[in-house]
Amino acid sequence: MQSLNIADAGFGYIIKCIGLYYEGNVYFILYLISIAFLSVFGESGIKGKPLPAAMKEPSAVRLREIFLPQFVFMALTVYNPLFPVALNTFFDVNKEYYRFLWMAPIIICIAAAGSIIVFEYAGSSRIRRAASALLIICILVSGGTFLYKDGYIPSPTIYHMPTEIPEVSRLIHEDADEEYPRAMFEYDYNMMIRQYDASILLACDREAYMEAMGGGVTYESAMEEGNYIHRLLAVVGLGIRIPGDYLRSALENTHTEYVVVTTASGNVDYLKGAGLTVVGETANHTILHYEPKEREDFELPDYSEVWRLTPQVYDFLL
Amino acid sequence: MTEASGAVLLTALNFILYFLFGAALTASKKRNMSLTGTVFAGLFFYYLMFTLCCMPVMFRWRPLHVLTCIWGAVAGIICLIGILRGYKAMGKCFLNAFSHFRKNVSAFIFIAIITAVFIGVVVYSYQFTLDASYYVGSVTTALQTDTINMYDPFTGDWLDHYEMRYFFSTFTMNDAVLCSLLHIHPLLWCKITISCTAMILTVMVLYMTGNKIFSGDMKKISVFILFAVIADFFMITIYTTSAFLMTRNYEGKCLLGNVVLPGIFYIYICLLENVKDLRLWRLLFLVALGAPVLSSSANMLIPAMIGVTIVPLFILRRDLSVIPKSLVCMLPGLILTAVYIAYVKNIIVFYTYPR
Repeated sequence: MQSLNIADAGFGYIIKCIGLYYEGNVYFILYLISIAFLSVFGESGIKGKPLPAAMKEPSAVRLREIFLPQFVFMALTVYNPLFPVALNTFFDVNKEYYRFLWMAPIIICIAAAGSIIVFEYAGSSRIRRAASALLIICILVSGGTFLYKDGYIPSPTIYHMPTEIPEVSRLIHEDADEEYPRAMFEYDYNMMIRQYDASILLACDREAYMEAMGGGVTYESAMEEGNYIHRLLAVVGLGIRIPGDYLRSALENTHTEYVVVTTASGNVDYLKGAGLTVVGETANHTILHYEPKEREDFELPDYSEVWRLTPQVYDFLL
Repeated sequence: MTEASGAVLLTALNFILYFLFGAALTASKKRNMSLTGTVFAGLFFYYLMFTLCCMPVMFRWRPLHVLTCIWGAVAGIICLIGILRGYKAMGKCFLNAFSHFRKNVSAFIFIAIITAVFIGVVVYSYQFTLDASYYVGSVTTALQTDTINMYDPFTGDWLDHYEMRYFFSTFTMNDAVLCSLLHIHPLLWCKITISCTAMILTVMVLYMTGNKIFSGDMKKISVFILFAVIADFFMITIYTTSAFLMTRNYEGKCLLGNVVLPGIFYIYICLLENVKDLRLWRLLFLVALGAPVLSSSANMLIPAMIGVTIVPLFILRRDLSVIPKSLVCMLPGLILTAVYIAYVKNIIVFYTYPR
């Protein structure tokens, strides 16, 4: 969890962590209710009714033993406010503590309780069972956040990529003299292009881009001496205009020959003014080329003979 | 579209491999073989064997195609062993499964429809996730450069040392090897084949757990699966296991959250019935060995999950032998965690070249 820090939140961390983990849904509450239901009613039956068949089965393990002890032990450890604080003194678990919450069998427990309600407590009539199942589905639906709440988008291609990605890749290779051209894309395409075509090298990695999108890159930082990546991020990622010679020095020093921008972004004229030439266009993107003074000589290292060397222990020690 | 259909059909290949690996390990003339149990054990045995083949190749800086040849041969041999060891048991296993199916046709059709809708809706949708740039990117990078983890998937630049976080979790390299063997684009393999595989495995573990909880009552199991699948569509924040299952199902972490951890919970339910069953303890150990290959997060989560299920088991069954057995099962994860800490503390590093 990027937005939470154990050192800052202290003993309140776990509450905030659970809050963020289940943000906007009631599944943790449903889990607690399900455990209580399976442990109390599952064991003794309701109002003197006989035990449900699942509990009477001689070889069956009682539901209370399945869910309750594990939850109690998780409450003492993972959900314990002291635990993340203590753990964080040994390892940095700030970003990944939420994964301990995966250990709770939330969905299994809720679904099991639901199934028992339908078949053991809703009576034997099919209509009553169907009505209770529908009621449980309504609770699950209304108590959560739907995966496609912002709309269902069918995949545009079999590659699960925008249709223009293969086209952009083809146009760059058609224009490039080398096998491994280096390019700079806008945020989404920068994250996607190498999934489709790993022979296109990128000027900027994911972390730097994310930092830029989070406000880590400004006009001032882009203008700093030698801060070439910030210049590319400022222009292509954030649409900040910097002097043309600053952009050219960034392209030169990062060996970036291609810049791909959305045609509608208004960046194309600026980039042309900075000395780049348009080499291709797709429906929504323009591919621009920068002719470097010094071309990057990117070659894959030759490992064909290296394997004959036997690694020594000191090779692995810093 | 033919390619996409082919990628869907390749899901069956994954299950055949898991089943034959499981058969090679567990088949016996004396015992009945369970279809789901064999696939479950086979999944972990498969990835364990893969990483045992991958590590020496990485240590000697050999190319991906060498690993592809080795793995093709090893997997072929293990599948053959599985067939030879288990062909009699397999016949009985399939007959039992078929007879179980015939007795509960409507319930199985209901589960099949739920699963098909579940997979269809998710796999047909378009999801943009940042982590794909690593998990799919590393597969395309490995194939492009014919190397194993030597290049940065984000930029394509050469790395001078292996990133330890991903060093032992060779899941993506298995994807690369299979893409190489089957001549399929990594995007099709990861976003269709592995997605389908992960979702079917999730339903399979739900079925196994439901089968235990409801003592084989298929009506209850089918409604249990229906509720679980609906919950998966709605328990969505960026952190939940459901979100990983629906949007990042080509990652090892998805399998960790939706198959491995619920799988350990299933083993816990089985152990409650018979705490002395050595086969269950061996299965738990196999899970502990195989899971770190899927995701490095397993290094910490598997010992933790074993802890939160086995301590209650010890208290409930008052069997002292639970403690040493569970400690042994925690060992692989703890050792790998220690190696990772040594890397973070700059004690060890694995270079991508001889120094």
